[in-house]
Amino acid sequence: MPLKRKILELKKRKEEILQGGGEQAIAKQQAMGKLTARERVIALLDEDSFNEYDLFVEHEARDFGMETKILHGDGVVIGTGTIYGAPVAVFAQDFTVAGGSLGLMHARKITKIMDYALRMRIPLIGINDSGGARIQEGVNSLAGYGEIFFRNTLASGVIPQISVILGPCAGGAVYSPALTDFVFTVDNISKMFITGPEVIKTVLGEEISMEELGGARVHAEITGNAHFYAESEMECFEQIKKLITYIPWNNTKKARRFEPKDPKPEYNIEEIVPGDPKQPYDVRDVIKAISDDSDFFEIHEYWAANIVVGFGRINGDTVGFVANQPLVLAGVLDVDSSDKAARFIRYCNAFSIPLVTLVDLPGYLPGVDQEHAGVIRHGAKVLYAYSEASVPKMTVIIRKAYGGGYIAMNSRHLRADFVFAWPGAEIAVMGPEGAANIIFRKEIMEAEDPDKMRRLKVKEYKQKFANPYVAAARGYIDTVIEPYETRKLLIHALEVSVNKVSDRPWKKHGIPPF
Amino acid sequence: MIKKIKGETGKTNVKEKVNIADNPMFRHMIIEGTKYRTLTTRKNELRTKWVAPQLKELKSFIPGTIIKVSVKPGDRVEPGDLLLVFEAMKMMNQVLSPFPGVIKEVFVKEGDRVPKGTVLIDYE
Repeated sequence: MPLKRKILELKKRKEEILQGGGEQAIAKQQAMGKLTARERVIALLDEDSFNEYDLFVEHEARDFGMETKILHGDGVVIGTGTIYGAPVAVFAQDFTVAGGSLGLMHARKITKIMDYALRMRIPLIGINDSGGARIQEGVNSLAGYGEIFFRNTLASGVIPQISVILGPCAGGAVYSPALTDFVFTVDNISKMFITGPEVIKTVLGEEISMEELGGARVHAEITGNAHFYAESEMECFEQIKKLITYIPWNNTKKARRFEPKDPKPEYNIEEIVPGDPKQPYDVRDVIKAISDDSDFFEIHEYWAANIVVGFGRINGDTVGFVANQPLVLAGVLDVDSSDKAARFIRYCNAFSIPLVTLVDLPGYLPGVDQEHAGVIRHGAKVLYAYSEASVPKMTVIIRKAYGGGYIAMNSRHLRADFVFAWPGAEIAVMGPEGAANIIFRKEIMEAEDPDKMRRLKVKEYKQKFANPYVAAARGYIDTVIEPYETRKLLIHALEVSVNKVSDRPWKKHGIPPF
Repeated sequence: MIKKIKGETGKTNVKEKVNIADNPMFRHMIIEGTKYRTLTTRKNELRTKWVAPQLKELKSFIPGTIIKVSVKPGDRVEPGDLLLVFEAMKMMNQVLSPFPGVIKEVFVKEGDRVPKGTVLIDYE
């Protein structure tokens, strides 16, 4: 047989496999407002950069009629490509083939590309769209999940791992995204849960839709399982591409450097923050007044909005911003915001991204539910993460830094490299009102006009302690600066910290308050 | 400048630049004696008030189905006496009396499906 005919045969084979689950299944996928697996990969990657592998893989299941079934590619597409020139490894489950169900060969394809990503030290992106385990393949399917979870853990902190939920992702399958660094969701398309509406209805008689139980909004706003929320698949792909520009390929590389740009003039750092510490403002405006081109890429935008985390650039290099948000819940630390901040700090540390912390918080959220939800254990994560981080750590105290919150927010005592404070900073054990009530309880009680005495004592306390100079006198902050100097000083601090060494005792690993 | 999640009335997240000066969505929140002006979140709105546990109420600790009810109001029970058989997560749980007492009321009957935290039996 001449080569030409063999090439024709190859083309024919490929063409058939590339149809996935066939016209009907594809039409169904489209009716749900979803792209097919290959369309997704192509939309995500640079033009013509995708190379698919294991196209010809076939399953070996012999039970329950599986021996007669042909499942093209065994329901998953794997390959490599580039995003803005950066190499990435990708898998995308194909819902049109047996509902994207995970059988032995399907899992082997995924683990193969995971091994490849880890060996080549390049980011891994997984697109999840699957009905779950392929029940006909029994324990082989469970083994497949286990092999994926193990690799997720092995690769964690070595290469960036991104999960994209573009369909159902239920039961054990959700643990792979949960083990990865960033989870992307799309409204009306993403569905994640451990036990679905069917089971809940049978056991409890409660009726709930998939969307209300584990849709994109639920995970973006209530659970925090999703880091990103988009209204369409295309918007989601743009978010992923943008993320890739901020992070390094692996934990030995630095993130790509961009041309430095000044912040936009509409973000005037001198005018954003009200003088009265009780008045709110959007701390993201402060970040934008500091970052290159006023660019800020927020993570977990809708969840625990009382703390803001995300990437920006300062003088061309990626930094991770962590900032209390006085606009929401007065910027308190609580269970969720502690989890959110601690995780982000650990991500930045793992991938050598310097941390910039902006402090303005009144303390911790009061409430029985918070205490019973373990705010002690969760709050401790922030202390742990900051103390553990060995990347350059800069802190700017904007206004309030009271009590435990002051310590937790990357204070000198947790080994911040640079601590700057604005002139309006109040660094104290608690706010003036609370403190005056305790210190001067007797004077206030015994006064003829207690309210007047209280106001007087609050003022006295304010003058004495509600300023940055007491902390500066002990060297707990390095210098008090005018707001406009913030960016200049941060640029300098980053330059000075390039060769930072951080000696730590040898350990297998610490025991963070998980 | 906060983006709004589609369809949500916008507790935290408003697309337009929020006018901080006189926005009715702002609340007061007291932290350590100081009153702050701030927005709230959907999750914060969903917080429930804590109530002291009623020691004489026997509640379901897991969702499940009542298979058998072995006591009726007025029965005197000793610790370890069988009260209910309660199926949950494919297990037949024998619910035994944790202390001696007299049954005041039984709120469930055989075949009932109950969610977690439902009061099943009340003691005198």
